[in-house]
Amino acid sequence: MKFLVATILTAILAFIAGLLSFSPWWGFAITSLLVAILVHQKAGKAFLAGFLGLLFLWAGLAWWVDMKNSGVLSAKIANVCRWAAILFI
Amino acid sequence: MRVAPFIISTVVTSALVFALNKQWGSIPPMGKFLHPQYGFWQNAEPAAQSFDADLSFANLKGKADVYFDDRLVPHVFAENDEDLYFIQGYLHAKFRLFQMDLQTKAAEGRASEIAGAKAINYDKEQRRLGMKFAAENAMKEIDKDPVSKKLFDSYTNGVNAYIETLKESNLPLEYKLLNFKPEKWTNLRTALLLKMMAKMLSSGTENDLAYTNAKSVFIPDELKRLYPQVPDSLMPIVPTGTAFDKPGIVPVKPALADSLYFDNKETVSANEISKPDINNGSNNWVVAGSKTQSGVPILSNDPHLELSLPSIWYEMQLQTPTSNTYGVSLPGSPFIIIGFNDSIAWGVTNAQRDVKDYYDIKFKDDKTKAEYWFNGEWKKSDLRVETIKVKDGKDVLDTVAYTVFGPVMFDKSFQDTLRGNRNLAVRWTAHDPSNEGITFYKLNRSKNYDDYEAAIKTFECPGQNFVFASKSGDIALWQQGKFPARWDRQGLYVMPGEDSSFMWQGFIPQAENPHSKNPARGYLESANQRPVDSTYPYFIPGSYITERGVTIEHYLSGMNNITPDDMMKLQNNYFNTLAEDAKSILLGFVREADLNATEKKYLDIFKNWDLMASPDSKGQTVYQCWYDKLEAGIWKDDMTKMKPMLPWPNEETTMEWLKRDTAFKFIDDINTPEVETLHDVVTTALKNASIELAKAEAAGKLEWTKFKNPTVYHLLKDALPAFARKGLNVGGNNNIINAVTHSHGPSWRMVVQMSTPTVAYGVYPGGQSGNPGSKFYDDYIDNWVAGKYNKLWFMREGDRMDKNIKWTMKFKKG
Repeated sequence: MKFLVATILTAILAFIAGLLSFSPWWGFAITSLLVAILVHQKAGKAFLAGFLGLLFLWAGLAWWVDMKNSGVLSAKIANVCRWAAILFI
Repeated sequence: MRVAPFIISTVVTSALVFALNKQWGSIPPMGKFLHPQYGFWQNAEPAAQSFDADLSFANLKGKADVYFDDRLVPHVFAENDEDLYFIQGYLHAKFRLFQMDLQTKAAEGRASEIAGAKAINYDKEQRRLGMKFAAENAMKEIDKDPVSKKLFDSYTNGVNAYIETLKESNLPLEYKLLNFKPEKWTNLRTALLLKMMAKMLSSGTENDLAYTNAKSVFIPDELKRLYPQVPDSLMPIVPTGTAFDKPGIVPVKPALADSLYFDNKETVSANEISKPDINNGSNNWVVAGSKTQSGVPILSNDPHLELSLPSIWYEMQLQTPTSNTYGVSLPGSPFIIIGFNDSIAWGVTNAQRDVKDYYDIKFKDDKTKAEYWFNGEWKKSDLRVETIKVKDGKDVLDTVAYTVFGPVMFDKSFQDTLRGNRNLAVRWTAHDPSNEGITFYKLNRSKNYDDYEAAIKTFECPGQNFVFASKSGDIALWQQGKFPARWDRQGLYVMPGEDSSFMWQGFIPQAENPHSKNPARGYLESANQRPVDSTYPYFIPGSYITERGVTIEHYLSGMNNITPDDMMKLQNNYFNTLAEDAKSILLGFVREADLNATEKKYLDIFKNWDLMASPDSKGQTVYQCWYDKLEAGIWKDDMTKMKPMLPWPNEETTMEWLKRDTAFKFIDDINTPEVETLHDVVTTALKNASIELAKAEAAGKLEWTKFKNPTVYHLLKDALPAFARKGLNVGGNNNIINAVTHSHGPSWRMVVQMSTPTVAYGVYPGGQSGNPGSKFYDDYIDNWVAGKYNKLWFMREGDRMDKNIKWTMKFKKG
C-alpha cells in the first residue's frame, strides 16, 4: 500500500512541478525526494517507487502527446538522434 | 530512515541532474530535451490544435481580428497600419521565430555563437563584406522618415510581444536542440534581413576576382568571346526594337586605363567562401487582356531560391480600412513582398546586374592597416574592430579597415591563402543608404501604374525586375535598382585604388532603367536574362541566364486565349531549350562507329528523347551528363592552367561558339600532343558520360528525378536530415522554366488573373508553420511537386462569418 501511494504521489507531484512556471525542469527530482522522505519505506523500495512513478508519468505523457500529434514529430526525432530513440524504446 | 542511503541517493540524483542539464558536444541537455513537459514533446502539435486566442497588448491602438483558413493562412483585419504590422510581426514570430533569428544572426556575422568555431571564417567574411555596416546605413535612412520608422517600430514590437510570451516549454524545437535562446528583435535586425536578401541577389552576380585571373592568361579578344556581354540567342526583357533615350551620363575611361588596368597581369588568390548561388534567379511574366480568354491581364511569378524548411516565404493577407493585400511575406520584415491587392498585382525576379567591384588598396603598414595611399597622400582608414563570439570558444578579434571605396574585405589576415599579396576593398551598392522596405509598403497600396512606378522608383539594391498588371488593363515591367554608369569593361576586373580615377563616376538615371509598358505584342517576361539588347547605351555586366527567357518567349508568343490554368502549366514546363540547340552538334559530331554497345544504348536514349526534363526522363540525364563532359573536354585544360581555377564560359556561350565555329582553338586539349577535333571531344564526352550513366543505371538512378534527388532541406541542412523532404518526384533544371535542381528552385509559384473578383493561385514547397512537429510544417510540398496550386482566398470584409474560417485570433489594446 505504502509503495503504491509513494508511486502515485511521485507521479502527481512531478506532474505539478512540471506545470509551475518558476520550477526548473528538474523540479521533479525535489518532489520525488520529498515523497521518499515523507512516505517511509526501505531504501530499495523508496527508490523503485520513485523510479516507477516517474516512468509512468513520462511514458504516459509522451504517449498522450504522441497520439494527439499522430506521431509526426516522434518519427523525426527518432531519426535525428538514434541515441534518443535508444533511451526511449 | 537511514541517513547513508538518503545522502547517496541525493548525491547521485544531483549528479544525474547536473549531467543531464549540461550540453555534451552537439548533444543537447538530455534531461530537459526529453522531459515531456519541457522538451521536444511540447513541440508535438496536436493534429487538432486550435489557434483560437484572445490576446491583448499595450502597444496596440485598437482592435484587430486574424482569421485563419484551413491551410493556416492568416487574414489580418486591423483598424490601422501600426496594428497591422504589429500583428504581422507577432505572427511571423509565432510561426517562424527560429528562422528569423538564425538568418539575421548569420547576416550579421554571428553564426559562430550558434555553430561554434567552424563558422568563424563565415562570420569574418560577413563582417568584412560590411553586412552590418550596410544595415546600419539603411537604418539611418529609415530613421529619417517618420512613416517608415513607425511601421518598422510596430513590426519590431509585434515580434517582441511574442518573444516575451515564450517559456522554456514552448520554445521552438531548434532552440531546444541547439540549446540557446531567442534574442530580442530590433529594427536593425529587419534591416539585416533585407541586406541578407541583397547579398543573396546582388553579391554573387559579379566574377571580378576570377576574371582578373583570366585577364592575366587570355588576350582581350579571347576574353570577349569567352565571357561575352550579349549572347546570340538573347531574348531581352525590353522587346527588341525598342528605342532607348540618349544616355544622361557618359562615363569617361581614365587616361591610364590601358597600362594600369587592362594590361595589368597581376593575379589574385583571394576567394569568397559563401558566394551566393548563381541560380538565385526567377521567372515572371504578364500577358495583356488581348491575349487572355477573360480579356483581363494575368500575372505570373516564381522566384528561384535555395529551397528550405521552413520556407523563406510566409503567406498572408493584410487588411485595413484603406488597404487590402494578399501574397507572401518574408519573416523578419513587414509588408507583402510578392502579391496583389484590389487594383494591381506585382512580382519580382532578380536583375543579375553587377553592382559590386574591388579596388586594390596600398596600406602604409599592412599590419595596422591604419593608413592607405589615396590621391597622393596617406589617408586614415576607419578601423572597425569586430568581436566574434564563439560557442565553447574564445572570442575572435578581427580588424576591418574602411576606405573611401568601402571595407577592405581581403588582406593578409583573411582568405588570401595562396599568395596574400593584395588588399582588396569592396565597393557595393548595398552599402549605400536606402530604404527598400518602403517600396513594398507603397506597392501594397498601389492603385494603378503611376502608383507602381512611384513605389519602385526608390528601390536601389538588389536590382529587381518588377512585373506589373492592373485591373485597368495595364501591363509593365521595370528593371529597377541603382546601377553604376560604367565605361566599357569598367569593374570587370579588380581596379586600381590609389586614386579616384577608377571610381564610379555616377549612376544610370532611374528613368533610363530598362522598362516596357503595354507593348503591342501583349506580353512581357523576365527570367534573369540581360535586360536589353546591344543598343542600350550603357555597359551593364552581370551574371545573366539566357535560356529560360528564350523558352518563355517561345511559348508566350504563340499563345492566345490564355487562362490561369495555361500559366500554371507553363510554370511547370520542362522544355529544354539548350538541349534542343545542342542536339545538332551532339548528333552531328559523335562518331557512332567508335561506340560500344553501352554507349550506343545511351545515344539511342538521347536520340529518342522528347527534350522534356520530366521526372522520369532518361534522355535528360543522358543529355546533362553528355553536355557536362563535353564542356569539361573543351574547357578543363584551359581553365585549370592556374590556381584558383579560371571561370568557365556559360553553357550557352559554349553552344553558341560551337554553332559559329566548329574548329575553335579551345577544343584542342593542350595537355596532349595530338590536335583534338570536335568529333573527338563529342565522342569522348559520350564515352566518359556513359561510365557515369552506367553507374547511375546500376543504382537504379537513370531517371532524371532519381539522378538529381530533389530535396528540400531544413535550414540547418545536414545537421538535421530527418527534418528534410528528400527524393521529391519533380523534374526540371536551372535552365528550364520549372527550375528545380537538387535543392534549389521555384520557392513560390503565383498566378493572378486581374478580374473582378480577382482569381489567384499560389503554392510554395513548405508549409505555414516552422515547427517540425506541426502538420502544417510541409503540407504544401506534395502539391508543389505535382504542379498543383492552392486557390488563394482573398477574403472580404463581408466574409467574417465564412465557413472557410477555422480559427480566430482576437487582438486588442490592454
